[in-house]
Amino acid sequence: MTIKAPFLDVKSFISEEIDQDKNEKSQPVDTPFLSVYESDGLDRIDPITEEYVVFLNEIYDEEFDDALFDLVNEAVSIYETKIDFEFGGSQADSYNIERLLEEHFSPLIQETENFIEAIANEFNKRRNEVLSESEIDLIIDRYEPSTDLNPSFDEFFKRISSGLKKVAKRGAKLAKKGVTAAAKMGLGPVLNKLKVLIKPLLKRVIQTAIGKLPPHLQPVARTLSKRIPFLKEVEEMNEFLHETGHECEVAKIQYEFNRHVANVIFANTELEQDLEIAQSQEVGKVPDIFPIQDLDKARETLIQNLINLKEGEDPTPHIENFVPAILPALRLGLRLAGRKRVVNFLANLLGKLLQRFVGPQHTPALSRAIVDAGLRLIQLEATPEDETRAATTALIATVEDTVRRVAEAPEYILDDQELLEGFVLEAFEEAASGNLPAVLPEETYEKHPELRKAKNLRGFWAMMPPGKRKKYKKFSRIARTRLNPHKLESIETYDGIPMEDFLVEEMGLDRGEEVEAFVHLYEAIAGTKLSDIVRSEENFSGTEAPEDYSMLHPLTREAAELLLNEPDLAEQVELNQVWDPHSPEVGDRFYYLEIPGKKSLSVLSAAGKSIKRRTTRFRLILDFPGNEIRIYLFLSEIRAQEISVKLRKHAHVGNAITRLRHYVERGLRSAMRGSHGRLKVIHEAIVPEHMLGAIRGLPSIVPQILQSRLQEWVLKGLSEFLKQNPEVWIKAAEDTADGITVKFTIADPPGFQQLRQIFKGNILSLASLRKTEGFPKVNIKVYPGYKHE
Amino acid sequence: MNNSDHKIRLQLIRQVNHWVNAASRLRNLDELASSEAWANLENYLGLSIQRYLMYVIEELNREAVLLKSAIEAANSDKAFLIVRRQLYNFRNRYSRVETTLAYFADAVNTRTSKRITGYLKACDSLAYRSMTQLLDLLDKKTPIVLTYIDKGLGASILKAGMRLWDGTSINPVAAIKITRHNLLRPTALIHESGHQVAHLINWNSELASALESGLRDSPAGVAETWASWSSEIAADAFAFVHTGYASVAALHDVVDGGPRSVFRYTPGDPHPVSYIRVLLNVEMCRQFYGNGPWDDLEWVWKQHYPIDSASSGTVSLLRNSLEILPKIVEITLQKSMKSFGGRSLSDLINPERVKPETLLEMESQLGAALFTSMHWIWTESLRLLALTGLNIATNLEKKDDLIRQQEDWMLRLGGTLQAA
Repeated sequence: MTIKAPFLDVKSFISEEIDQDKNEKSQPVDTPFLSVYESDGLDRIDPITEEYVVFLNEIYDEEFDDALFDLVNEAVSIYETKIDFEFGGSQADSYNIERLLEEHFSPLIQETENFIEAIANEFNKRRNEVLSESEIDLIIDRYEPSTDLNPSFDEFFKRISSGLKKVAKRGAKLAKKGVTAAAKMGLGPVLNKLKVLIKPLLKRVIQTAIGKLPPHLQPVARTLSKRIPFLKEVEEMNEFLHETGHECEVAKIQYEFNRHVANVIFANTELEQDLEIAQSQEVGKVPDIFPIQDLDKARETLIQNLINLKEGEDPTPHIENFVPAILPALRLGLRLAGRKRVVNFLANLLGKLLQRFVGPQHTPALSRAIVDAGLRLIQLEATPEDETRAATTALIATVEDTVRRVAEAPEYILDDQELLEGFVLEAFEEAASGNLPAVLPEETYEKHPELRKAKNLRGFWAMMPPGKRKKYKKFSRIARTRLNPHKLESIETYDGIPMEDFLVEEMGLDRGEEVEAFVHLYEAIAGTKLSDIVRSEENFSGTEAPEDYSMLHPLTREAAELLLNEPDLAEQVELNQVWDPHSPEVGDRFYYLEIPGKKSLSVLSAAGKSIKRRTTRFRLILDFPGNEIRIYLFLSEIRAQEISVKLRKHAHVGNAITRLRHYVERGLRSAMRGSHGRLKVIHEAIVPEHMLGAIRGLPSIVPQILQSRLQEWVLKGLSEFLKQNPEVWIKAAEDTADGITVKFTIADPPGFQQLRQIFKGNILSLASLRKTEGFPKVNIKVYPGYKHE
Repeated sequence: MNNSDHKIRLQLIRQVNHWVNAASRLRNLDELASSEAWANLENYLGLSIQRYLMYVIEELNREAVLLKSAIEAANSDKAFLIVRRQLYNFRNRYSRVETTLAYFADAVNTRTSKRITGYLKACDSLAYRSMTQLLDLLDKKTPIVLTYIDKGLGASILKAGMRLWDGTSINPVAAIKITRHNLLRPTALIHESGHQVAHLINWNSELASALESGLRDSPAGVAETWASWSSEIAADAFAFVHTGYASVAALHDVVDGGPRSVFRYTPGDPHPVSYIRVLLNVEMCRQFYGNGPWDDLEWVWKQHYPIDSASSGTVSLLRNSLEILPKIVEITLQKSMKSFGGRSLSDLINPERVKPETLLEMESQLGAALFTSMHWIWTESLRLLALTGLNIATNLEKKDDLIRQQEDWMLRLGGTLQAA
């Protein structure tokens, strides 16, 4: 078969035998407590297993993910400024960097360990008392760190403190029941053991920051699936989600940490606790493998090799060396790595495809095209050598993109040589049209308009920064656009928030204001963190802190069309895609709106430091064991004041509710999609890492019904509350704290227990769901500032 | 080279080396102001000033390189004479550059404590906002602002865009001096910002022409005198549209220095005679707001300073001026001008927004949150300045509380502005 491709005519290739992936059979790792409840072959779920899973949900805290992410960013900043790690990469370098970062985090480890020890001692002293939950909170809250912690350490400390409360409360409950070692030993000694977990936790933070290959963890569900049959189904759904793109690096660190904590708390004997602690210390023993840095090195070698190619010389051997280095850095790369023949074929074909672009006879034309496409807009003082380098890098980016697309190809394509050949050529065309400037004759583009993604903005996606380590791609053209209310209302950013709302709350744009903006476009490559972009780009005038990656918005088709009039510059975005700002997928595209004269709004923290103001956010907690639903609606300062003014004027409450309705509806929609940090499910059959799978596995009618019920309960409750207690809102809004939090507690919601069954995989009739009418009691509390649990 | 040449050369080399080294040492900006002092500026402001100062220093050092090359190449009496002249020029340039550096260093170093830093950051923001509200409408770029504290009675400005002491560089920031006594009543800031705005849009000369032609029916010399005061009238009007009566009361308190100063008329001084200047500002209030607390202020002012106390040469100017104050206010605030894109100052910044009734209504509608919510402090900072100034001027019993309130919101505003 011969496939015609605009970039090259490629002859068919000889049939190859494809290595099949050997499915890894892994042995479940038992959690210590499970040994007591050996499976009896029945589909019975033992109560302690359920309690263990519930505890994993309770303790999981998305804000802890944020805190860990900030520490990762801090570590990256340190090692990038203090050590030239560009191409050291030796074991000694790795050792030095880890030591340097360990030293940096050592005060935090010390402070946190002291904290846990002090709390453990306090509980030890009061081992004969029955402590209430509020007494536990009090003991933990009154502890003050011995020194002023920097903001990221402080946030970590706060999250540990919050987690410790949950641990202590659960430990107390278990002790009361007389099960687990906690009952025999008392809470103090158990808590004291947990302090040892802090060091490995921060070790994982360091390893993530320096791009070390993370340890392979056994999914917790696999260890529990024998006990909770439903988990198996959710895990399958989750594996599908994993393949379709959702995986959060820092969340995995937290899952691992929480598991160690839970296993210690639920252990039956002190020996089991000690074994768990010993296992947690294994974290440092991961091999010195740095997939991203290895890719950087391989890329640099390839750049040099391609630049030095002689006329007519074949680039294929160099591509063959390069392709295997890409795979470990890709999420699904290992799938391909096991298929050596596919990899060889791919490298071979890519080598042929590149022949038209490399070598002294072709590179100058590509360099000229790169310059014409705006190289100097992103690299001001580019020399002729830089032009050649940029052209070669663009070709390599094309290779990397092609390999990524092939790695994501369905199995049946990888298994079929003819299909694979066609797929590779198509992937190459797609990749080339994104990474290379217009290099083909004009008539080719007329014939194949799909090869030119941007119709008017003639640019290319340049790997950035210009040095040897590449962290992201930037589109060479920076578009100027006029932002008007219509555009801003039509474009949505994370969580379905209209861009207008974002800019009003984040940057103090007046509603209805028209402003000029510059649109900077970015694309994630292997290893990209959004904070890398903020740290590396000088144009982030609107933001002061590298962790302020909230200014990077997902480039949806609507955004690309309305802002740039170039819808095809957006990557195809999956409907209902959940964007996780911590772990962008390779190929995800983002934009930053640079608005001259505008920057992030700030507020003074309680400690007198200037911090970024929070924007409106919503959090839904489905607490099945507690038989209640809790909702935290945080309103930004501007929104809180808008409502407060209406209430002060004694305006009709409906007036205030109309505005609030948008936030509730939007929040519920986002929570039901499982957006990052918007939904927490405390349930005996769902572990946090599978929450998204569990939600997606629900019959679609179920979230719809839940959403509409919640909307009704919340808004009716709120309307009544504001009629009766407007002064509570007004008083909270007069506080100097940033914004206000409205907490809704819905006790014994109708249909909640049916939903609990559905989450366990029990199928209920629609009629039984619909029967669950009724209006539960909605308790509302309004707090100044931000509240989280 | 003969012996005398050698001696001359030696003397010159020593001096050249001295000045060249001195110029090189200027590069360490942390010796001018401590790194903590630099860190007390907002990020963009600190960077902008440092970048500017480094430019000035590098220019000087480029000249130093030339001077050094010249002395190395010199081998004749004539050449030594030329080098000597170059050396004198360089010394002068050095002194002028040092004056520029010292000015900014002194300004930066006034941020001595967290509290003063907070106030001054708030002042930077207030001044910037007052300018940007007008300049944005005219599509003009607003310069960044550096405020600093100094002794004295009145505020002053070193305008952005002006050539500085070193003779080559252009001032990148509007540097506004605020006096210590007025730190918590900083409407003078807005007056100084008015000077910057007027400079940027060429308002002063247009206002001068408008006054001259609009007052041409006045007795001889009156129109010309008022035209010569146009820059101060413009700045007063700018402060008035942003802060209303607060700026009038503050101006009164600053110029109320006894009959000699109140009636002093110095030809060529851009400041109007204080006596008539206060009354002009009162007229602004009256024309836009009707009756109000300014009526009492005017009454007392006239009681304290009977017009006949002025010197004989000045009294007729003042008497003739009293009649034309409404006309002057009308020309200044309501006349369409090219500088304002064919509109008037009050079209662009409506003084109604800071009318006492409007301000008090805002206070009543927003309640305590107006002074505690960062949203209101950020969006309404200029009107908060106007309101607090109004309340301080009219509510003597609560003066201490009001000043505390002003301190709180200004510190809150200043504290949120990121340090470098």
